[in-house]
Parts: sequence; C-alpha cells; structure tokens
Amino acid sequence: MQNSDKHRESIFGLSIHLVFSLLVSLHSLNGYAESRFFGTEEIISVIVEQPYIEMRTGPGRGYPIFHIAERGDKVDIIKRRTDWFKVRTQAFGLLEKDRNSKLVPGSNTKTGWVHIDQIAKVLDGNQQPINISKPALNDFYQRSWEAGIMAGSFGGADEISLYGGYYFTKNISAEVTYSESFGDFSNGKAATLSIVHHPFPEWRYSPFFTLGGGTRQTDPKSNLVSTTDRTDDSVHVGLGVSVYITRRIMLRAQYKNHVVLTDRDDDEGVDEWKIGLSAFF
Amino acid sequence: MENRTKRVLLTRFLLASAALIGTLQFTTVYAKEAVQVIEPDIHRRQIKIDAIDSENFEIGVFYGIISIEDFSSNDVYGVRGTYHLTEDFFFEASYGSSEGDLTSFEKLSGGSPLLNDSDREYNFYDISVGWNVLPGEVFILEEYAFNSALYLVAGIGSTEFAGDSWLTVNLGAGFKLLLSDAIAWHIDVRDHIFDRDTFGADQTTHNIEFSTGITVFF
Repeated sequence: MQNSDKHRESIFGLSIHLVFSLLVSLHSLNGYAESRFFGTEEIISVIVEQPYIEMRTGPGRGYPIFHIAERGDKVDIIKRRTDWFKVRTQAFGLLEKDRNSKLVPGSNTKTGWVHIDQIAKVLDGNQQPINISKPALNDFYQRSWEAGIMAGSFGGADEISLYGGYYFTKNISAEVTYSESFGDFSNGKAATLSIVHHPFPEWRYSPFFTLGGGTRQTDPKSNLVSTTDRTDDSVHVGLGVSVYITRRIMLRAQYKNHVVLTDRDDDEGVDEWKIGLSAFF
Repeated sequence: MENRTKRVLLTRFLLASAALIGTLQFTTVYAKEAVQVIEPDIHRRQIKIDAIDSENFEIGVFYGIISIEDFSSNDVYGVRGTYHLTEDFFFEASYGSSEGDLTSFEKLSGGSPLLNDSDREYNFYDISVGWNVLPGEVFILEEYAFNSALYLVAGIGSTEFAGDSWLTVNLGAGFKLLLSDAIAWHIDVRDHIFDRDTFGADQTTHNIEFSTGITVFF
C-alpha cells in the first residue's frame, strides 16, 4: 500500500517536472521571440560608481538581494519594468560548474533587478553620469501624449469615456473621445474630435479650453415600443483642468456644453460633466 | 637568353614597383582623407535611457466561465491589456464575449423565448485600476521559483446584453504567476455588476466571471 503511494507520488512529481521543463523551454523560446520582435532596443553597459548596487531576484522591493555589484564593476542594463532595471554583471571568463558538473567558461554572470534609485548613480563608458530619473512634474509639462478614462454625467445620464490626445505644441492638442451614456430611456454612443488649448502648460493645475464636434448615436431602450435609433451630429465647447498627481498620472475634470444637431425643429443642448484619471507620455 | 630573362624580371620588377607606388599613393591619399574625417573633438556617445527596452505593457487572452444572472453559466473569452505604472499599481482594459442561455422559466414553461438569439449575446468591456496587493514568489519542487502577485481590480465599463447597453462596475481579484520575465499566467475572479430592467423592474445583477489567461509583457 505504502509502496503504491510512493509510486503515485513519484508519478505526480514527474508530471509536475515535465510541465515545468516545458515552461522552462518556453522561456528560451520567449527569449528568441523577444530578440526577434523587440530587438531594436540596445543593451547598455555602465560602470558602478557608488560602493555597491543591490541585485534582487525580481522587480519588486520584497524580492531578496542575492548579489551585489561593486564600485568599478561593469554591468549591462538589459531591460526595464516600472522602476526596476534588469542588469547582468559582465563575466571575466572564470570557470564554473554547470548543471552536469562540467566546467564551462564565462557563465559566471549574474542577472538581477536593481532599483532606479541605485541605477541612477552609475556612469557610462566615458565616466559621465547617466541621466535616469523617475517620471516627474517636469515630464507633465512636456507631455506629448495623454490617454485616460473619465466618468460623469451627460444630461443626467451616467456616462463613461475613453480618450486620447496628442500635443502638437505645449499649448495645442487634439483629442479623440469615445463616450457611452446610460440613461433611463435611452443609451448613447458618441465619437468626438476636439482641439484643446492649454494656456498655462507649465502649471501643475493646468486649465484648458476645448472646441470640437462629432457624431452621436442614440438608442432608445429596447423595452420601449416603436422607437428607432437615430444618429445626429453634435458640436461642443468646454473647459476643464488637468492636475498632475504623481509619476505619469494626472487627474482631469471637465465641463462641456454639447449642441446636438437634431432633425427636429430645435437643436438640443446638453451639459456634460466628467472626471477621470489619465496617463501621459 | 640571360638577357631576355633579365629583361623579363626587370619589367616585372618595374610593374610591381609601379603597382606598389600606386597602392602607397592611394593609401596616402586615403590616410590624408581619414585624418580630415576624424576631427579632434570626439563626439561622445551619449547613453540614451529611452533605448533601454521597457516592458510596462502586458497583453493577453483569457478564457473561462461567466454566470449571467437568470441566464445560466456559459463560457467567456476575451482579450486583456495592462499598463504597469509602478510595481504596485496598474491600469487594465478588457474586452470579453459570452452568450446567455435560456432562463429556468423559459426551459420549464416551454413557451416562446424571452429574448431572440442576437439579444442573448453578452459583450462587455471595462477599464480598471489594479493593485498588486500581495506580491511574492512561488516555489515548486526544488528547482523552480516563480515571481507572483495577488492583485485586486476595480473599474467601470459597459455590458451589451438583452438588446441594451448597461453601465457596469467590475470588482475582482486575480493571481498571476510569472513563468518568465515576459510571460505570465493569470487566474481571475471578477464580478460584473449592473442594473438591468429587462423584466420590467430595475434589478441589480451580479455576473461572476471565473477565468484563466496567458499574457505577454512588451
């Protein structure tokens, strides 16, 4: 009985083994895919300037430090994830035992993750400090793209919006917005294009004015009788404020007055209030 | 005979020297040009930090089961993209698709169905904010250690079902296991909550999705 249990255990162990060796081979395939499709980025060699930098097993503050690179050591920066840099120490051709206890040359490099605060103090090949910093307020002033999600009210109906904007200059940007509104009697979908003017791009609380137009589709609720969908053009003016929060994140609040150009005798004016979070680049 | 040999050798020698002089001259010219090209103020190669491959985006597919309130459970599949802002926080966008089955009432009564087939299609999208609340590492057997994280997400979006769109709040938790630096395996549980008045009165529905997926960082 005990024997068969052991047997089962070993089969279980073996199958787990198999699955994970498969995953590990996926690893190397992944390395290939990376170099094949995302290979345009450079690997940068730098020299450690401070007494040491700490290398961790993963890109996070909780992962254990397993190695340090000392002052004067050369390391390669392979890639970056959020505030963490994957670095590889450079080998000096020492011999090392591999998995099958064979001595192989030059495999004594260590690869680990280093925090941006430590990477920021390394030197380049000309002994010059390199400029690595966290995204900050200054990047907000010089943003060229932004994208975000907003929620609010469109004439009393709940509304959510997705938008993206591109800055032609610091003051002028163009935005595309897709909105969906959810009312008691009808739902709406709208796509708009706006020109946005930012008179004070170098303020942390940066106001803006916007002008644009688009198209709006109104779908009456399906439980109402004899109604049809309709599509109207619309124009809008608005104003709002972008507020830098932290890193690449900003808060955005805005008001727009839409005029929906309906087929009926009167055009329809709608107030829209929204607030949301955006990332900028 | 001897003279002839001498003459041949001489000719060859002269030709060879001419060729050599030609090459030398060419080399000199080349060298002169080269000297002009290399100017004393050497342009230092600036390290551009943007050149480092940054992998803050994650994209992938998921597949699972969603329980559509009143319309039984069905398989759900979709795509999901994530932007990692810091090691703790991320933005996430999903689009998924499923289909509502017959309600118990429709099955038992045997009458005409409440919804036609196209209205039974269940499509949703949402944008959420996520928090890696329990980052960590997972150990499997003796050889394997994988980075992992338990995360919470909350967001808003839209669900298209029963002929209308509904403003949808989604709340959920997930677990991701990083099989490598660039590939992650996810298990997710999400509640898609929306108010629906398909059957007359407004009713808050909870549509729970249980799914698994693979994502790639780039």
